[in-house]
Amino acid sequence: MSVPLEFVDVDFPTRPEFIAGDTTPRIFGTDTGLCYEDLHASIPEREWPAMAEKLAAEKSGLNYLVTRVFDQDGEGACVSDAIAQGHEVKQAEQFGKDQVVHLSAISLYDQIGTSAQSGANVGHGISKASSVGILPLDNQENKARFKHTRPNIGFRRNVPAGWKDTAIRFRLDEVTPIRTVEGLVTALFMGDPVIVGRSRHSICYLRPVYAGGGLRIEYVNSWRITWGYASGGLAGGFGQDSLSLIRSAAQYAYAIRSVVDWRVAA
Amino acid sequence: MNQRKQSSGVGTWLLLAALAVYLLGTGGGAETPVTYVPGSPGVKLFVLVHESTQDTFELSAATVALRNAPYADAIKAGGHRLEIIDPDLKDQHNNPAPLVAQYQAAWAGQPLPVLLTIDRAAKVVKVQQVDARASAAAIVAAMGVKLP
Repeated sequence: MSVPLEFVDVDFPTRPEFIAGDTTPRIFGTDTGLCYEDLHASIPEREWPAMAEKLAAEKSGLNYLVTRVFDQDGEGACVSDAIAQGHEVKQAEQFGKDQVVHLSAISLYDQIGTSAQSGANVGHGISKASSVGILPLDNQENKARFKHTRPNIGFRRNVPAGWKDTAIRFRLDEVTPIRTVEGLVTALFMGDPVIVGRSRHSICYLRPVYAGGGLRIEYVNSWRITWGYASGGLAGGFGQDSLSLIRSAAQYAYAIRSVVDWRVAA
Repeated sequence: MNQRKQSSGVGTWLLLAALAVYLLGTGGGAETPVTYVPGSPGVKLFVLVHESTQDTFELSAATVALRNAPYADAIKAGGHRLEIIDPDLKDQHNNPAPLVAQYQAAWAGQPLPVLLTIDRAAKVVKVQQVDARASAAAIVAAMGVKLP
């Protein structure tokens, strides 16, 4: 698949859609605890090209678990959009694409931003998504099913009372920090979406690909479906980073390994 | 006479209100619980239990492929459902998720991954070991689901 070069190594701050949204420090401290590299032996680099080829040939990359492209619509909520996207990708794997409950990114950004344009920290977003959770999006289906829903945008506007009772059902469960490119690529090969921040913007990394003579990683952005190229059965929303940007992103990243089962058993 | 007319009017309004609730829903909060157990004869619930930290690349790729055509379509066409879970999947309160609480005895002590087949009586009718490098096609074959 040939990807238009304008969507490779995108210099986010030069794009009209850009709002500085990622305020993450670029280097982890020493107190991150268990990292992905401790949990899972890194896959040797020599095996990556064949694995990337297999994902493309068999349509088994995480791009095929993306059920929609987010639209942060000018608010600095990219961190929350990327985390909510990662949550939805894991829902699709665990429960099925037709069971995915689309989420309200702003309901997470409400918890970590200080204003509509302030931006936020990836680690803070992961922490809140793991402890407090994220509300369902206010689409018709969700409004009929859940007591509390929110739109995808609208910082701290019309937050429903008692919203935490519903948000807790959409918590991240297992999330693990990543410290290296090897750990990041391994996480993607193991089917775990990775939330990264780079160039003051946050995106959801999905799968390794080989193109243009080297490794790239495909991600889904949150600048609506009209931005980017088509992938995974969706008409747009995707971009690619090559190694120098992957290195930058890998300095502070989180793999989403599971989400809690939100469903109420009969 | 007037009284009868009035009460008939109230009755009409109550009927219309009930119809509106039926058609439009209650506006949230009245969530129908998920019924995991299949309702029709022949329809099955499959649960693939895998420990994600022990997964191979092949099995990870298979879990994504199973959620897409042609595998997901074949499973759905039979009315079946597939859950792909870690043995320690939790609910919102950090307790074992309902599927884990109900069926963990079926895979206890067995090497993972395993595939459970559950019938409409909520009974585990088959527990199959799954090869750690199984493909999506092999897993669907183990379910007995035919691809188009």
